Amino acid sequence: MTVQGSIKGALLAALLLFAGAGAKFAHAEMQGVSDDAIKIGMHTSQSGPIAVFGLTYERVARLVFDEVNAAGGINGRKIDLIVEDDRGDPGAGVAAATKLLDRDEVALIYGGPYTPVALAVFPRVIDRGVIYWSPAASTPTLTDPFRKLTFQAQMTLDDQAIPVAKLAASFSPSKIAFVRENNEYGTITHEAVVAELAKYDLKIDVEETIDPGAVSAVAQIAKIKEAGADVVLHGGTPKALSHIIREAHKQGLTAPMISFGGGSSDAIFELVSSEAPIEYYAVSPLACQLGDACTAEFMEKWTARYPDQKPLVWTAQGYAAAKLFVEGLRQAGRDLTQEGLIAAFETMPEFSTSEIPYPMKFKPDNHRAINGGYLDGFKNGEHYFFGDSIDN
Amino acid sequence: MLSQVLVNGVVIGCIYALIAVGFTMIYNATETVHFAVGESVMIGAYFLLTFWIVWDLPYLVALALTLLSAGAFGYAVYDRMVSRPLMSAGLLPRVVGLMGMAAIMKGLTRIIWGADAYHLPSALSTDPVRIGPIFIVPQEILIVVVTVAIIGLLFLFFQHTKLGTAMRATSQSRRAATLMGVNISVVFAATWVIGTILSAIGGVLLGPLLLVDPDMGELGIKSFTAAVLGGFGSLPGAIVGGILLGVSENLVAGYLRADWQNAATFVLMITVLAIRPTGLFGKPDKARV
Repeated sequence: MTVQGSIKGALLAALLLFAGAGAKFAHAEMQGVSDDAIKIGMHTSQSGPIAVFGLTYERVARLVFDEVNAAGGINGRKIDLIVEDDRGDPGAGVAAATKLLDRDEVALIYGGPYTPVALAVFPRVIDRGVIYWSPAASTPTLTDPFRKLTFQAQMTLDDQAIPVAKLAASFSPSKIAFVRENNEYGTITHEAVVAELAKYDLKIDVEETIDPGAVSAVAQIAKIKEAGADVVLHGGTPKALSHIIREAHKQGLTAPMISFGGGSSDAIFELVSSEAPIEYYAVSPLACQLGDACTAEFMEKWTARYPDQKPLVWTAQGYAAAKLFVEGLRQAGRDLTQEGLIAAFETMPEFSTSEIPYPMKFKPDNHRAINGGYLDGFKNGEHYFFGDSIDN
Repeated sequence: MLSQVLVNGVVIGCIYALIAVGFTMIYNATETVHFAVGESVMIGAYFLLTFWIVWDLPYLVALALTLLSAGAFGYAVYDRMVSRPLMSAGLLPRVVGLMGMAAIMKGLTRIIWGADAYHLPSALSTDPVRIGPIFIVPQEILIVVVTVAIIGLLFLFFQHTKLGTAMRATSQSRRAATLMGVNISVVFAATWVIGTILSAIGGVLLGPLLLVDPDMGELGIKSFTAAVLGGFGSLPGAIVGGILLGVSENLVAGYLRADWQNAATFVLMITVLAIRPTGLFGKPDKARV
């Protein structure tokens, strides 16, 4: 070997060593990533006031991730989903995220649906320089103002207020009542709907609140009826909503009721289509009624995996969001870093799924992937679905 | 609106009263503060849901099975597994044991039935009935009728049966009752069985007005409040406390603010206790000899 050849060999060896070290450094930069797995930490409400939503997002994440793993994983790595119960309680949510980050050393947090919990958890996650990726939380604060480390593949409450106000306005109401739950979710829905109603020169005339753990809504409905409201809007969760619906039916309140997404649950739809048949609508993120053609692929897979569990509209939305998440991971390539992953989500092309009406897309200055949604509901026992044109 | 609010307050108050009566009975006989009472309400609703809706049994058969299962649960779990082994350990270990049992029951419920909320239909018509300015559904009428009937039956049971008399004697003085030949083990077992059945009836009656989920037992704390308000250990106090609590909650929501409802409950309790530390019907503590 000549001197020149030796130098070339040494340079090549150094380069290879450097490249190897670089690759190792890149792996080391993102905790929770090993040669054959990526740990994803999820906090969700397996119990508490919105367990019905929390569980559905967990189940659908497992459905999608297990399918990906069965097909060989993403860029040679399996997804290792570690789930902690946030109990629908902000303190428990923070504890869950801390455990996921410190003990399980997950690569990122895949967030749960409950607004008060998401609001408490996400600042602590991004303060650690870790991505908070939410398929479920609808609070606009997650991505507005813009934050580099938060991603949201869910209709925000701002977006949900658009169809709520549009349908309310279509009734040409003389008085609008709003019942909000005593928590951040209720407050944000209230602010969002006030802003949207203003676009139709409408305002809320009757303001009522309800505790998420209330056992009756008799006083609220009596006051709304006495005030003569002809449309009732609702921002809250199913348990308290069931009292509102039962009381409205009992006291003969004929005003249509329109709820944000928190009112879209199987138990509520069962209630309004059977023993409390009031006119009721709730926001849906789907392109069609659940069970119709746009959700055929999802329904087939869901039924095969969870034959005893009825899906919600949010389950199908969670399915679309999980597919988007997987695609972003895939586009980030094998050398995963937080920066690389952020860039991959921001630059990935529009992602279309049959379940969601519009293509999903993150942008470098906007980390909300879903914009716009529809309404699903019941009137005289008939199921109605409102797409882009809302006309009662 | 006042009459509607008052009637609904009485309906909800009847449920609180029913659970508080079971709670008080258990305290009187066993000196145990039953912090799993809410979970007994929950299992009542879940048993009915399972027997009636899932297994598709006729309603009355499902109801009978629900009450039998609740009674068996009260005996096997509360009496034999928690209360009796800890009887000599003092009040605090029994309370902690029951709180632990409440957590286990919630956890098991999630494992068996899942955490989803279920709609438990009413066995009666759901069409509202109008009586003057008041709207009421048959299920609510049933709640009041059943509560009144149960309280009447309990009165007869305590006054006119041997077991009822033994239970009253035990609540006065366990030692004296033992000396008089009362079988304390039987009294304890009967108390847990009846107390758990009463709570389960609360769940059966309330289930169709709520969504059934593992957290529905949280209303147990309201019954505890009702029992304290009425005078801890007093059965008439538990009834009056429950109804007073239900009515005051609804009045606060109707005429003040709905978000003050829970706070008002405790303000009411503190006010009553400040004026009358033993509660409305409670008697001052006497040393038991």
